[in-house]
Amino acid sequence: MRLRTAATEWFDLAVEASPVNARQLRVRFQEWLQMLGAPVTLVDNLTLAVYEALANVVEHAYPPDCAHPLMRLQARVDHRQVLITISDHGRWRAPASGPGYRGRGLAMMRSLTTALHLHRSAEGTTVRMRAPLRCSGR
Amino acid sequence: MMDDLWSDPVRDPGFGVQVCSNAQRSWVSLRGELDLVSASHLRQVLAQLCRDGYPKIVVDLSGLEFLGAVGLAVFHQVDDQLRAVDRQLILYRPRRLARRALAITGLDTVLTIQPVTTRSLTCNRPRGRKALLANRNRPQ
Repeated sequence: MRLRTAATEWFDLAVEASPVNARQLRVRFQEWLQMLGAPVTLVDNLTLAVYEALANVVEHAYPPDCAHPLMRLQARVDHRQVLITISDHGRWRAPASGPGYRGRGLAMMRSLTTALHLHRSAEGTTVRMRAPLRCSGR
Repeated sequence: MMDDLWSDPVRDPGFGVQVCSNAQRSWVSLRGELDLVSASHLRQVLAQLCRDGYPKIVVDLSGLEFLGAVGLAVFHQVDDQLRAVDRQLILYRPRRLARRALAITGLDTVLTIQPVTTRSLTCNRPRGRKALLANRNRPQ
């Protein structure tokens, strides 16, 4: 896991897209939110939303033989809003058709944040999410 | 009959499964994080219990610290399989984050979820006066 910047109000990590790294990135992001003093409910919601976005990258962005499947998680606080970006350089692959047990990730992200934008292009996919930061104790 | 089956802590130290069964039901206690790393392991365990034919499978979520969509999918699929043969999956004592995931996906109205109680759960039933209250809400 490569740390690009590390400051109190910035979070920026780029890692190989893998299940283990998605878990580790989620834990690091959760710690960052807690360090900001975010209330427990917001920490829970954003941690889950971010994980679902990372899971989508791991499962859908890259073919199995991709040599450098990267995913990047960026987050910052601006005007008391937590702004989150998850990006990859792969091609979005639609989930295989099945009995319908998967495919809840995007709906969860929408429910857990106040805004979600998904941008797909030949260069990759970018998911942007935001939610108001209501610091505990203020 | 009683089984103990823990996941390999070397392979995935962040997740564990313990199975404790009798003739009436199989009790599956989870701990840690149910995500892309661990979901396939749980799927294998539950598939085996489905094949074993227990009338009821209770999955204790009280030790689960994270539940992602991939874990929800495992529960939904197993629930459908068991209902089709008139058997039952019960999700027991989900913590706050798991309850949130179940609620926002609407699965809290599809799956059978039993309420939170105040004591921790083990394979052995508690004894004494507190046990009376704790066991009252425990699935049989």
